[in-house]
Amino acid sequence: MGFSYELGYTNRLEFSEYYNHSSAESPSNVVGSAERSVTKINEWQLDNILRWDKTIDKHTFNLMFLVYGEKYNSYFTRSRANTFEPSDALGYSALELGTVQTVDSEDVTSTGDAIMTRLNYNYDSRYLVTWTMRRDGYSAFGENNKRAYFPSIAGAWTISNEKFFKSEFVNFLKLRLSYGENGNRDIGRFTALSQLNANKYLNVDAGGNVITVPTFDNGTQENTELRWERTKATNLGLDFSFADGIVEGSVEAYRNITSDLIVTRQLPNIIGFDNVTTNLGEIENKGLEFTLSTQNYNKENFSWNTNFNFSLNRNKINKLYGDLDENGNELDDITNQRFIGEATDVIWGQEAIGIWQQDEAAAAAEYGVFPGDWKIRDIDNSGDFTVDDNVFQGYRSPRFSWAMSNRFTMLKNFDFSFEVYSNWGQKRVFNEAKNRNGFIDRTNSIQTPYWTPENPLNDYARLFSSDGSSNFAIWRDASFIRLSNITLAYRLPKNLLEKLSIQSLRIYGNVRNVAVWAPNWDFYDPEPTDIDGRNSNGTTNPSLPTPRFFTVGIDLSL
Amino acid sequence: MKKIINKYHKSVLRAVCVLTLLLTACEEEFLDADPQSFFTPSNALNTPDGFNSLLSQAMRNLRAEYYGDGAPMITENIFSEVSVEGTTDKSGPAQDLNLLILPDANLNSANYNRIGWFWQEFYKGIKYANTVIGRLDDAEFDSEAQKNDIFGRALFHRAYRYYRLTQQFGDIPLILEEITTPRLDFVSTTRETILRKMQEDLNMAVPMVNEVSNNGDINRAAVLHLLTKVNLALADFDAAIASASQVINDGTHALMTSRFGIDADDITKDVTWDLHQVENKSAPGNTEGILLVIDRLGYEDNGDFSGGTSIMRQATPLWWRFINTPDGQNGMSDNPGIEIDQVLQYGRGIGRNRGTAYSTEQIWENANADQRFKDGNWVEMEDLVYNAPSLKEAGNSFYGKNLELYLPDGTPLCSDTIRNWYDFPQYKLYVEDPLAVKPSGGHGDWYVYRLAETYLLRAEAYFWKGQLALAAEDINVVRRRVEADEITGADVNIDYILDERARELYYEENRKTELTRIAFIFAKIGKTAYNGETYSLDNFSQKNFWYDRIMEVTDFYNIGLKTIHGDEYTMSPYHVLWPVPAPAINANTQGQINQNEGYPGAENNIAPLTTIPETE
Repeated sequence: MGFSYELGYTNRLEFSEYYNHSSAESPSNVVGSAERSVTKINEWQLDNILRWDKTIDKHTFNLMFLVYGEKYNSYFTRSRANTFEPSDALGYSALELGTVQTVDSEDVTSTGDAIMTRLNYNYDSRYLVTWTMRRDGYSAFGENNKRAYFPSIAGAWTISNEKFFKSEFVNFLKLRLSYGENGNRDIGRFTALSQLNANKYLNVDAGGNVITVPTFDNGTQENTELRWERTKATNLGLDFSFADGIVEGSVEAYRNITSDLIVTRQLPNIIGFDNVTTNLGEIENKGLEFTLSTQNYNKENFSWNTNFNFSLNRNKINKLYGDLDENGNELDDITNQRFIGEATDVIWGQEAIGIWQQDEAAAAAEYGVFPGDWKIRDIDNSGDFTVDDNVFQGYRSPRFSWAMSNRFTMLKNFDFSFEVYSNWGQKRVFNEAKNRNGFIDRTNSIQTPYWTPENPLNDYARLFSSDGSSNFAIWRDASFIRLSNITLAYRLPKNLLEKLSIQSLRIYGNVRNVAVWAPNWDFYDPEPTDIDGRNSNGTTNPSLPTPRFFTVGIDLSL
Repeated sequence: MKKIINKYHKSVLRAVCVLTLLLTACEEEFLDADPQSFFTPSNALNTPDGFNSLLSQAMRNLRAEYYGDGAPMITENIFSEVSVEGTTDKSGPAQDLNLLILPDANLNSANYNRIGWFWQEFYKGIKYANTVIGRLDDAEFDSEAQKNDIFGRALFHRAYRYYRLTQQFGDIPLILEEITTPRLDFVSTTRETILRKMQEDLNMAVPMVNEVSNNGDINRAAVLHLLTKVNLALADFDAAIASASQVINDGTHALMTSRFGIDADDITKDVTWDLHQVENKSAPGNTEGILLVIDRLGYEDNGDFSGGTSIMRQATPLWWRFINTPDGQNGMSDNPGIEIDQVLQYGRGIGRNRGTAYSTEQIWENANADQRFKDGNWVEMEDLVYNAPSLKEAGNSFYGKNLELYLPDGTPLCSDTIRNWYDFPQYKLYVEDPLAVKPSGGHGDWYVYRLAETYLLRAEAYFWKGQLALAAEDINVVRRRVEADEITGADVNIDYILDERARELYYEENRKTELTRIAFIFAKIGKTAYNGETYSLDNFSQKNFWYDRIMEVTDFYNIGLKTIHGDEYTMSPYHVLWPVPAPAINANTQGQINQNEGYPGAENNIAPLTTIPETE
């Protein structure tokens, strides 16, 4: 018959507990405080998959039908106390001794489901067609938009399997074309709702007794229309293998149109709500990816393989929320810095173009600043800085990236490899160039070059410079090439291993983050790991350099 | 993880069907994951308790002006004649106002100013009120009285914000409903139209709001006190006298004239001291407070303002550095627990809110027996002593001696007399701070409205009407209580009323709001001011009483004074109205929110609304 059935059930149970006691004995604490909290997360996923596989002559069919459900529950409880009596010696183990006690809790539930059908049809290993239809549901979306349908279709033609294709050099050639719609539900579990943040306030009654009274803060607007984000992806690809696999690789071009992008939209503050989670019109992503692996040399005593990939992506906002001006043109969203026709990561603001020098003191004075302060481009020559002086100043994410790894095997038992990668064209905030990194008379800060009349730099301000009336950030190009990894290893020869009755023994040395070359970035690590271009932990504190790791190791199998 | 793979076709096929059906049958409910740990408007804003919770949030929002590092009220003081921004070691604090007070500048930071805070947070307060008002019909109330009290308090909260915003920013968008969509088409309404609407609302609210409420919430006297300010702002002086009199004669409120509270037995203190100790402000028997905001030690994350008042840090001078002994040694220490511990008494001030010579010297010239200027209540820098332990170790004879500012030859001993050397009202600024090693000013209640101000508001209304004897009598009620000399009608003018307000209400009143209100009255009624000038609404941003008053009585902005960091104190007449923060104007792409004259962007202004559009 060709039917098969698969039942999958996954359960994840996670506990995390936190205990802390800040002793009153510490000179920085006047009273002791202690806290304990526990979080439990329980999550299950259930798959029911029914398959039908059938081959008739050169026709191969695979049909799949999926029914899926999931549920997430989390439970959080936290108890805190301070100002203990008679003392805080028992810490978090006796919170009831605290004269000030607080408890909070938060439970969260979300659910999702899906139904999917997929048909694969393969004719003679030459033509392949895949058709998919799925319906996804998620509890976080607006009342009427919890579910959405996502179809896709893909075809591939393995040219090298055709009878007419006869080439000694080209071993494999496959052309792929696909169109598909995908959903994204990556939002907070309750962002569509207007959450009444509960808190407390104090009253004093006629007897002088303090009473806590509850408060509600309606901080976000409700969006009952929030719906799935949808990406329509068109993909064209070519896979190839030449000369018995000495050269292999693929080229891929794509164009993704994302509509109803889920974003947090900051609202004009007079509305009184900070933001609303909403669906943003349309964003277009276009890109190119290229991967290549080659066997450059392959002899018994020396072999050399290279892997290389290159990628490039361009995006553009086509539509926003549909707010039109009097001429019917769609308006930019200045509050959130989203501009029709511009990329989502474009930098827009007042531009720092250099440092006011000694002979420009009079011109600087017109802007209320002094030689040594940053000079800001005054687009409209109005003498002051407003939104009219904002300009586009490049992009936060790389314009293109590439990576390469090389592996060498020498004298049979030596392995050597290194990896290089590069992100190019992105900019990052570098306000260190304002030289205002702390109070110079009482705190330490990282030493950066600084302007003085005798040292008239044009890229760093005087110590403790003034911004004048401008509100600007210094953006610097953070392009880099990084030698990320070098490994040298020696495998003990087989005959020696046999004498020692050992399966394998490998001695290796490895260095990670070996070197980085960033022509325009003279500070800690140039690599941005978040969109604002700072540290991987999401802060904008640049004082965390990336460590360099040296590893020496032995792998032994008995 | 567990995975079972079966190949028993027929039976499993049946099971799948059942499962699918089950999922389909309950699928609608399956995706309804209701919030468990928070309320939403649909399940909570349809009961009296829900409304009260929003109104208590509005009180929290109102409280925040008076607390914390860089408290917003300091910006009110700085934009008046009582204080200047005294953090002199950097650029950014609101000193060079011509340079820094711009729509696109940083307008909401402890290290700059809090203009943007008022804009943002007051509109939030308006939203809480509008949410309650708009949803009143969704709820069932225990009684009509309960509904009226909730409605009336919501009207108070909205009027409190609009009264403040119209004195701070002039013409602004008038929003009278909860905005439930991302609207971008707001326009400005004239200050006068908004104030008229608030006057109407408050008149309606007066009989609705309960006469007695808990301290920390709104009562009828608070509504009347606000109404008095709105009446004055509209130059309705008879109405102002009537509303103020209703508070003064309400039978529950009276000035405190005899000793009370925690220090009542301390004979070195007096009623002025008692009145301002945070423990006494909402104590039973204190009949002077009309509207208070509450913050107490021991309610961390449970209703307190995190960190407390921070008032000593903000308002006392940075006395613990840069003051030398006459023989050139570093004289001061802010270490606690040393032999002469001054940090516990005065706090670790940073001089952000620097009292001017006007508020710390000029208005006290004829103080005589005035309790508010008495030793112990009022602290002069010369009352502090050289306390650095290093002096004692070195056997320096100045250890323990009172500070001196100059050597006999005139050489100053303090390198920054803006930030480090000025006198201050200890009786108002002292707030015990047991949670801090070096006190900043801890938790405590604060007066927002106090009966002494009601008297001074009524005195002002009498003055505008030319009834100077009645004005003098109201001022004397306040002065008698502090044992100050009485005055006569001949002494009364706006100069005197502003001086008395500064003496009585320093670090309490919203000084910029009130000074601008008075400037608007001069411009509206055309009465010649004591300085010989007359003013007009036609050129208000070029010539106004607010600016002339600050130039007249203070010497910061008008003499090219520079901080040690090199920033010059500057100010212009157009600063009488603050800049509308540019993001508010820029975001509002389908309408035009007006910018105030003098700031970039004002050239795009359109005629503001003078009527309130009917809501559909």
